[in-house]
Amino acid sequence: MHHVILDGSGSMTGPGKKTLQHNVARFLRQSFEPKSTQIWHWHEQMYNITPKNISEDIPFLSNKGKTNIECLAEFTDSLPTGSNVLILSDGFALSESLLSVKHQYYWIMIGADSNPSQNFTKKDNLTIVHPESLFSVVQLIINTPDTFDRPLVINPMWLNKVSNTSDSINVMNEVGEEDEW
Amino acid sequence: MSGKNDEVDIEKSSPFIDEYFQKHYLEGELSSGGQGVVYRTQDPELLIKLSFSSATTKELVTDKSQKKQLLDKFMRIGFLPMPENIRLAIPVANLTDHAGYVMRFVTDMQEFTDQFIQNGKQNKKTLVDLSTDSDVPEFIKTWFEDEHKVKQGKGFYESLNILHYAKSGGTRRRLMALSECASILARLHSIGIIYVDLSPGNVFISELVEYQHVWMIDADNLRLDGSKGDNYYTPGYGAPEVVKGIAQASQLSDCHAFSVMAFYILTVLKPFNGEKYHNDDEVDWADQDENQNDALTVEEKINRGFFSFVDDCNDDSNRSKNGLPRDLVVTGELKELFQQTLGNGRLSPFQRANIHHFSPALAKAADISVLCPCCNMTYFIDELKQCSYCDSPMPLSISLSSYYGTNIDKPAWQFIHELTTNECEVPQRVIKPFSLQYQSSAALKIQKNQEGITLVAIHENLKIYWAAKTYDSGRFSRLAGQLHLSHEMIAAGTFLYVEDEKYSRLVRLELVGELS
Repeated sequence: MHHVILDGSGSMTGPGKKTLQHNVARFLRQSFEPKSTQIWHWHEQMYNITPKNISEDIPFLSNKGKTNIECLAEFTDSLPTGSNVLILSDGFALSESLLSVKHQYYWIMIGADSNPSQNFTKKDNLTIVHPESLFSVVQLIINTPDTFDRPLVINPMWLNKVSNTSDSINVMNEVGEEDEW
Repeated sequence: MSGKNDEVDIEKSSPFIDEYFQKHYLEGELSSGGQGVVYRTQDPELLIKLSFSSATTKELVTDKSQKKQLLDKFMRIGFLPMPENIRLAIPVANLTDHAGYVMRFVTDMQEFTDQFIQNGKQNKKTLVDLSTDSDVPEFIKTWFEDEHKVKQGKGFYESLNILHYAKSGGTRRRLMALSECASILARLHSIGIIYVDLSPGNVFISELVEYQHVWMIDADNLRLDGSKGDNYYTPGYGAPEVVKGIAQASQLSDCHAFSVMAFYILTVLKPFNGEKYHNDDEVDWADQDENQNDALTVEEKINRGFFSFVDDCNDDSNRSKNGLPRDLVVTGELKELFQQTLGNGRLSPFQRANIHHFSPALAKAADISVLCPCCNMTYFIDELKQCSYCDSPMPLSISLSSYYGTNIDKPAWQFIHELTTNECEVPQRVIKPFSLQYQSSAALKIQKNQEGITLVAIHENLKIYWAAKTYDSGRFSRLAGQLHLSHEMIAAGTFLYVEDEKYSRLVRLELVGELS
């Protein structure tokens, strides 16, 4: 399950931030399966703002005052293990205390004044994402492989898998054929 | 910006002085539109934009308060948090005596309009001359001869339009040019900046067809999304809500303009010029709007979103048989994006596909295109194993299928490129995560030789490993320098592994198609 969290703090009213946050949320909604995506507005409480159907836009709620970090930590703690938590924030209201080992976190930096080094040290379950990398990060979330460990030898399974291209194209240059180049 | 304007009266011999007291001497006009005119200068890397006081008179601004207002606006653009190394000509200095600014640019570029769009104004003489060239596809020559018998030099020749399409790089170059343009827009959108007035007159591509570097100009309307400002648009490209004045320009209106431009450049058909457009008098507009829309011209009706998208899956009221067959120039993924943006999103802006979807989708389509050595058209590879235009067999090509980690269920990216020349470059996007800035940077070089191919890793900092089933029991070794692979090794199974902290990729290498 993907949980997209829109930071509703006052700093998110800065120039261009609110609309950028909204557009990133729309992009994520377009990228993930609607059934497996929940959208939340984080302020003093967590408000579920997931539109009921595809013909509705994500509501444009105002950002103001302070957010409650404990509320967010409690909320993420209550999510089923293995959830993807994507926080759309400038980072001013965030801290490492909210990270639970149960989930993968993605902080999507909203606004030119986002500064990742001020809030977080390197963590295995935290990916800090500049919106320029949104597409590749979303692809990775959708297609997370079992392992990224470098293989030692060719797995015979790979050879049996016929690629789409070779499936559709005659390989004229068979092994042992006379090379005419 | 679009078209050339010969009527602007400017004294070119006098220098134009900028705020740093640098003198600039104007050369030829590069581009002109409703808001102003852009000139080359004696310094080939600098351009000057001069603003018009009005789009109708196209006279330069002389009014002091209007000039100050514009210069303030250009100065504010300099304060926007621009992405680094963005290929967009932004103001670097205001002029002192004119409402205008200096911008940095690259040489030998031509606007999309001139490269890709015929606008129905065919220079028949040039194209007819071209049609006799030896590299012109036979099917176009025959088509032209048949059309010429009927039209005798009068009217619009579809064959010449296709000839121009082929001569300007065909589908593959258009797809890559549009992908690069979408990348520039997506980089702006990523920090909340909107472009506002996108049209083919504002996007430039290398003049030589062998290259496809893309730059954009006319940054003077840039602003943060959500802030108020002028909502300029080029007729035909403005989003309906902006044209009607019910919404400000936004990322969503940029996406609309981009979609219109992409569809037009790829299919040679404007996306709303369907049956309704051609039979406008017969249409009853009472159900469209309560106002008296009869007073509107057909173009105004299109701009206001009254006509549905020609390929709309849910509305066939404005179909069109014109334009290139969609299956030849647009992949399924692109069709979906056009449907979302121009179909569902025409009057419901939030449903438009985000610009971040366009750049990779266009590049993916370009990467499964092959250039036919017989007719010089580019076509998508498919089960037909032959050119979609002249039926020639597919030429010998290199194919790379890259997968997330070692999960070979679904490729992350596919790349296929003909080996008709001696060398081919594999762009970074094939073996690394998609990057808006570096998607086209070369990661590998593939050279054809007598025995097979030679693989060269371009960047030493890329950790690439390789393994072949018939070599060293299929063990992976670090790729250093050049790697020679015989046809036999490739056919038996050859893989690359591109190691990265979080985004490693397994890549299968194959040779496909026919030896020429």
